[in-house]
Amino acid sequence: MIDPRNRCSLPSLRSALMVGVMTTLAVGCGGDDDDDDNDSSPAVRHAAIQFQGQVNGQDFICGATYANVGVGQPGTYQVTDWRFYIHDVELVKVDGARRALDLDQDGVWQYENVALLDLRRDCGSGALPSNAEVAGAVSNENYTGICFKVGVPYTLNHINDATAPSPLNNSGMLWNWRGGRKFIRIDGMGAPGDGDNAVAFVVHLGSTECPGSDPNAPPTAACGYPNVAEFCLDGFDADQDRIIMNMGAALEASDVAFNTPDTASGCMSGNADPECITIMPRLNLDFTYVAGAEATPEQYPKIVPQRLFSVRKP
Amino acid sequence: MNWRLSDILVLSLALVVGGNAAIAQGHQSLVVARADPARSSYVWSLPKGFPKPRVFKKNRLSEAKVELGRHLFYDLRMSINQTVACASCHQPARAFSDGRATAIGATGEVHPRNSMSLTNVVYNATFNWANPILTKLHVQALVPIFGEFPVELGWSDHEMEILDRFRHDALYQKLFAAAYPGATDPFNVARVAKAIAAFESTLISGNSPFDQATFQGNREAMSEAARRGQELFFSERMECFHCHGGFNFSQSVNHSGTTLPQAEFHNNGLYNIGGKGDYPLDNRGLWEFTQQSTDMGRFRAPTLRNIELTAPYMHDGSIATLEEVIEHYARGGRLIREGPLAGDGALNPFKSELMPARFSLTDQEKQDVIEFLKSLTDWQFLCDPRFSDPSGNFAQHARCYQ
Repeated sequence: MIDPRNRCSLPSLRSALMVGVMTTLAVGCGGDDDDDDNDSSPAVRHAAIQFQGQVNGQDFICGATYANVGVGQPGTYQVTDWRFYIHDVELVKVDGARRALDLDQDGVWQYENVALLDLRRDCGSGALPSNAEVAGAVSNENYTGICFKVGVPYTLNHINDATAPSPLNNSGMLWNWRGGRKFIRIDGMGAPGDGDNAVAFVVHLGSTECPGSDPNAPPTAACGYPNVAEFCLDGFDADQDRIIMNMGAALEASDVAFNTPDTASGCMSGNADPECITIMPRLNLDFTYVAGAEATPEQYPKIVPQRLFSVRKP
Repeated sequence: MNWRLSDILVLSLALVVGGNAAIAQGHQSLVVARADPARSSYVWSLPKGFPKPRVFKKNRLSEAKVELGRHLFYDLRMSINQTVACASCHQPARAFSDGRATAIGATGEVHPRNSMSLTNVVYNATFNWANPILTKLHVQALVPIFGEFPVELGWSDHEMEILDRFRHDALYQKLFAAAYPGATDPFNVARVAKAIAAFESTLISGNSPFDQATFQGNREAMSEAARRGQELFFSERMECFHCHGGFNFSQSVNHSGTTLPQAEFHNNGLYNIGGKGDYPLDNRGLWEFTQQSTDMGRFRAPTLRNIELTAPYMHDGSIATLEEVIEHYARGGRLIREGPLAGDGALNPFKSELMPARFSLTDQEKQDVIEFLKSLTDWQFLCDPRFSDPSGNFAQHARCYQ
């Protein structure tokens, strides 16, 4: 395992780079006095970005119930699913220049520039395979930040689930063909175990207003609300830091024990769903709420700075 | 105790076989069961847009094995008293279900569960209504063969007697020899189960009006009403597609491109006995395996393909028609006012988060949704001679003979 205190000992999974890594170790780990012109540091290094789910500072454990979530009292919220896609992961240099993380094509969690994070562990029956990291190769430079987009790019979001490569064929993340994938899937229950007061409350993020007359065909054009947001975090060290995804921040203004009757449970990104008014802007997205056919659309701009994702130092 | 011996047997087997791998697996790693390289001689005939099924090494398909399985599937000699075959509960005329609320075994014992349709059974992530560890069809086939509580086919303690019926039959001698070339004595229970599983694997339905409209560019194959119903089915108002989504109208799928386990089980608010969330003693779903309260009443969402022909519905056949199924979901669960099962299923604490609290549909909209569900009926599949009974005991749907 990587020793987080020793950044230059990071081993590469790519055997082609091993020679370079060994050389770096042998010459004393790139100290200040190391002015060797023949420094054979590899041009490319491997990086594995770690993610962690949290609800208001508490680590996510599948099926656990958290207190003080949102504005309702007592704000108990049980979380039973936590999955999301990200793409276009880039590490950022101090001057703002970005270098793309070329994702390992592992055939399971990562395909092209898209990765699926699945933070469930011991969820439901038996141990599910889960994935809390995004790994790939990146130009071997010094970085101080990271950027990534939550969701699936349009060109991959609406391909046939039956023949799509993993992780785009993950059936639990399907919406429908026209709508594409769920970008974020958080399933949960407000006031769990409280009889009549318990309310199913989920957060399913995805593209909406995807044009077309057939839910089982790709959209005829780009979706009206792609709902893909980019997140950039400063002060991020890929070798030792984790990225925290805090659903408590997304739900800070929600009453998770109330759902407007006849609307989707919680927020499923619908533009007519009142529960999305407080949630979508906290996913770093501008949200347009349209109450009905004759209603004037209401704009709810994203809340800046975003607090959904943050960096946790070791 | 509501465990069926058959399930326990299968559980024990799976623990012995898979236990170490499961423990070793842990967080962030997984055993990727990739599709086997096609060493099998079998050539799938797949509907357009469908993935290649996963074939397990222990049961590679061949035309001869499928043909043997077809004969066994329909043969009454498969039951202890030669009264029923697999096809008795999985009748071709009813999309391989039986029209009963719950199944009845060879000796008349009543099963607590509704016979599942075998449509696209090869794509199931797990088998039976709520068995999380039963993931191979040729292992599932042993359940009805050996089941004792209740007796289904009744092989237990009678294996040799039943096998001998086939061993001494000239036709089966040929069929077994072709299916298992090189075996000195090909007649054993495992091979019976594997052949039946091989035949069942070929029961692939993907040429319904929905498929013609969706995958074959013939939009006119679906009526206007069915298309309106499709919009409703895939709407956030009804939320049907959260559990019945994807090409097989069930999230719980497995095929050659699947890399991650996709077994799903849901409580859909059928019961809430005493307000505690309980389901009837003999039908508690996933809870029977885990004893975790959150697994009470969780069952696998079956495919909706050919659903028009597989009434009655639900794991216990307790809803008679599609119209009533829609009304059940519209209410957000079932209210049982009196009797030992009394309780409001809509308030079941373990009900799936994905089910809307309730929704309302006009009569026209309800009919549209039913029209959509009927557009999933695949007559080419139902009338396919490859799936018919070679002995003629079990007819296909009457429409196939018109």
